[in-house]
Amino acid sequence: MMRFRFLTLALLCSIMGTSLLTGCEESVDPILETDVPFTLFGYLDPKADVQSIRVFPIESEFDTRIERPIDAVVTSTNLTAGGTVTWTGENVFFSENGTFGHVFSAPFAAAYGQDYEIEVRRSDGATSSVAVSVPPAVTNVFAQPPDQVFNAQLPRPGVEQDVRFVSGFSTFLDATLTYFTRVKRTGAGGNSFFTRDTLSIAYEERMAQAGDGWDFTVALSEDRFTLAEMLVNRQAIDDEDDCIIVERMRASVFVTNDEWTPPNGRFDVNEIIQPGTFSNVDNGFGFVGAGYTEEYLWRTPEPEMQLASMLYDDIPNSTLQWSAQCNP
Amino acid sequence: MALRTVLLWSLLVLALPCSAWAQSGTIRGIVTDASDGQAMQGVNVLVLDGETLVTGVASNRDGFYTIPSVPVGTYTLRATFIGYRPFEVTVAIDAGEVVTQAVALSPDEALLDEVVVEAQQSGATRVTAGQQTISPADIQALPAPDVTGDLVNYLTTLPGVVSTGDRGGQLFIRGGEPTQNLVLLDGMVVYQPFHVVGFYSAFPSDILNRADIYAGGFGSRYGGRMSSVLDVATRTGNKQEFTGAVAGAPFVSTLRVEGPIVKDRISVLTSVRQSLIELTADPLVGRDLPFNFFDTFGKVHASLNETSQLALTGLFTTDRGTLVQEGGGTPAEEVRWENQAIGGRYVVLPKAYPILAEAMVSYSRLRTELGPSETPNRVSEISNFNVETHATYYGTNADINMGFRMTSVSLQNRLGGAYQVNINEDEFAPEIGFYVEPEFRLGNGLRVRTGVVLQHYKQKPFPVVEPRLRLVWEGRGQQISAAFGRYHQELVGLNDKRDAASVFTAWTLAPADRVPESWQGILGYRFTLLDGLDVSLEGFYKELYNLSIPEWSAFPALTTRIQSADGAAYGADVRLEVNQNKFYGYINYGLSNVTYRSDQENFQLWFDIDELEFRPPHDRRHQLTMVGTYGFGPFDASVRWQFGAGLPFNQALGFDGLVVLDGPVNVNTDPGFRRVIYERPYNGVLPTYHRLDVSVERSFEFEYTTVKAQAGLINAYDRANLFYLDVFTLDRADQLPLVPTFGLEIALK
Repeated sequence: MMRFRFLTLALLCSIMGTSLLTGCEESVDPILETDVPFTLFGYLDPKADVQSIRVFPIESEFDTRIERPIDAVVTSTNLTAGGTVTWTGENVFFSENGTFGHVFSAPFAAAYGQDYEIEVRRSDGATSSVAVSVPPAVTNVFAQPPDQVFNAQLPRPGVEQDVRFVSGFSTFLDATLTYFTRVKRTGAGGNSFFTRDTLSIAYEERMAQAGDGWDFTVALSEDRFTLAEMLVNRQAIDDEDDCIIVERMRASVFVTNDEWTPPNGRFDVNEIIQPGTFSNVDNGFGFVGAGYTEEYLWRTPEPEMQLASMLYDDIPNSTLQWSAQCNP
Repeated sequence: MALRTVLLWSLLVLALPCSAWAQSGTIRGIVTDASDGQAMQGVNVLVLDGETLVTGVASNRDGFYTIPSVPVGTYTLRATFIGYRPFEVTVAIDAGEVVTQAVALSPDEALLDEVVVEAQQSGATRVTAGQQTISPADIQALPAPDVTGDLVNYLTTLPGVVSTGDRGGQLFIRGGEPTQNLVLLDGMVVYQPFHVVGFYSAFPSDILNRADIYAGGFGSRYGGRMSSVLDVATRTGNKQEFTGAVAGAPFVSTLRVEGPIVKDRISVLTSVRQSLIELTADPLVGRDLPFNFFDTFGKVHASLNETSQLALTGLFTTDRGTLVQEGGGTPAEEVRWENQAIGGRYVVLPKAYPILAEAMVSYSRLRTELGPSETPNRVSEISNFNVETHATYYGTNADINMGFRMTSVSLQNRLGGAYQVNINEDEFAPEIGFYVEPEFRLGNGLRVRTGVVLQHYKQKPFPVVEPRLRLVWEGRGQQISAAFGRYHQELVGLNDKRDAASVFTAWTLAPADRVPESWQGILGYRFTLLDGLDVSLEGFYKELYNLSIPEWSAFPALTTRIQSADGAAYGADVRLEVNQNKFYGYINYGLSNVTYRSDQENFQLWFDIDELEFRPPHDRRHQLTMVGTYGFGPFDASVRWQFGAGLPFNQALGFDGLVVLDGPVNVNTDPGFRRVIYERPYNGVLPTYHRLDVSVERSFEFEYTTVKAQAGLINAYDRANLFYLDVFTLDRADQLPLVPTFGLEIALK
């Protein structure tokens, strides 16, 4: 019985000891907080008169449906030529999702090939900053003579044409070829009329470094099929063999600085969602790049266009001629 | 019919080597309480030649007994149970004969008080390789907010069971997740049986016969889950006379009615409970406790003849809890769920064979909603239609169990809400399983139950084979037990990582060919240290594969995009049970360690590692429960103190946003995404949980009624234990504050 009492006493003592050790802490801090003050997103555009970046304060409040002021001063310094500009902040309402955000802007054009530092400072001195190099300008763009190519997937010799962007830039995003087209449609009363469509085809895969720049290789014959498919989907034509009139073409490339490269070569939002991933901000998160859109409008010579089964808009609209021209 | 014939012949072929039953006969039947017709479990039924014991068995949970291989001759069949007068009858056995003999035991009024103590086969330390039987008497020993007990109140005292406290209705058992627990009520699946007020479940103690909890290592009869099994068997209604009870307390009001529909043959048992805490909290504790639950249970039980029974059972429950009160034009944020289950169970002793066969059909459904009551943001629904058969052949030194089950499961998820990408998905999953499980009695107290399950899952290209093993040795006041098994689970439950104590679960299917799997082993030792002091030690280890966890992402949204993870859970339980004169008490300590390892493909990019190891949110490392009851004079006093180490949660560094700069994006018009900045998954630890409950109870006997009165304190030192915390909105809800309780039950005798 003595042993039993001793054991019971020992157990009760151990329980009491545990109780004391558990403490009385009841509060919980769900947000650790961090010394990192800001997340920045945006880019410097040498072709724009006003530069803008989005500034997210790193905060413990989650809800952005409420308008809140931001404690931030944004400045940019031209590290190459000197000079500092203070940016102006604005609390922007985004109607798309009913939230507020802070966008800072400054009325200057970033200079090609120069380096900048953007600094966002909180009143307590905490600062996030990012160094940005603006890519060099595209000095010349021209279309090379079209070539006939032989592709097993095409019913007859195809046509390709290179558009050369002459520059020292090494990275780009969003290369696009846009066709401005017209197609003939028949109305309810049997009358014919024409409708215009602007059709864009992604061309990142067709950009290749060549000579003193980049060649944007326009695959006219392959695009003919793509355009026909797009027009059928838009119900602009009934049959993929119907005539497509091309008024002109535009090659556009969004030239970027070297840092503007996503992880694994793709902008997968499920990958870049993690803070610190695709980030170039010191003591902060986010990405600030530099870039501009370079465009080139041209027309491929008519024989090659016809070889690619496309026509120009100066063909007469008479039905007989139309039919003849459309089926060379 | 064809299936039944195949089943019977299969059993016989398997059983023949075990028994020379052609030179002997079988005695079987059902044991009932003569006073109310209740089936009696654990009654010793012996075959005596004069006063010499020939053979004997104990009746099973349905009251059935089968004594095989009784040599040809004339014997005395004697059934004994403490608190009842012995039953004796002479039985003659011919070769190959199957004799049916019903046994009705009459209570011995002089010994009835002893029954409560002596006859209990349950108890805090009576654990056998993870399996523990819980009786209504065990439940009644605990302090509770009202005079009627509830099974979950006992479950939360078990060392391997982590609960979300007195609110929330989630149980994590030995490293498993709530949706990995199989909860059965008379064979029907109940998906979410635990009420929003954590003291209550769909299982009030006054409808229970017994509950078996398997904290892992469960046998072949059970499938489709990989953590634990809670197999609840309800009692049958009184077959002799109508009786009932009504009880009231600030927390809940209860009504129970039972009685014969056809005397001695068919009975009905019904129970209805409605929570009152929502109405009584303000005057009682001076604050709102916006929680509401309701449950109703009904069972019709028919003794068709001496060898067969049919039971029809139905259950309906509703729960509603307000997480964030209405205010500022924003409607209240609620969590709501509703269970439905209905089923039938037929048990028969076929005339010609020494087997027990049962067939079950059931339908179960759970619907869970989160958000404003009229426009929930998230809805998840799971339902199943289940058909199964089981049969047991009784041999001299071996029994053979076998069975077949077929389940069709339907799933629906509608997930939306603020900062949430809408998800709508509907899925259907048939599951088919077959098992064989012989149990060998090898002598000297050694029993070995081997088993194998063959299970087909929709998400696996081929049926899976699951071996199972249970081993028990008993002798000299000691018991050594072990269990081992392989388990799969195709249905997975996903919680929102933004909730520090998540209350909404979306049920979905595991990805194809990545069905969660577990290998687990348990080793236990039980002994009597001193007279009145029993000790149980048990260790467990679980290796977990293909766990389906929500994809880790800085997107602040619940997603059904899931990632695969492996993991391990191990730990040990120590239980001490004291039974000395008028004092009964126990101390349960559970040590546990759960880690998950995820190899989400983005981890290399984000953290420069291939695999991330983290503590899941239910990894409670230490848990201690102390329970004591003491009888002084006409009063019984109970005290319970519980302690749980803090649980991991996702502690954020803060919030920012993301604008996807995949081209010339205009930051003046693109709103981007809201983003949460985490350091690592589950890097924070919540405060510890501890609470003290006390109660005093007294019974008054009147001519026709028994009146039981109770008073107590819940959370006696008013600990602010966390229940729910949205780490984004910082909305916090605590568990119950100090609540004085009192209750009264009036029961017809």
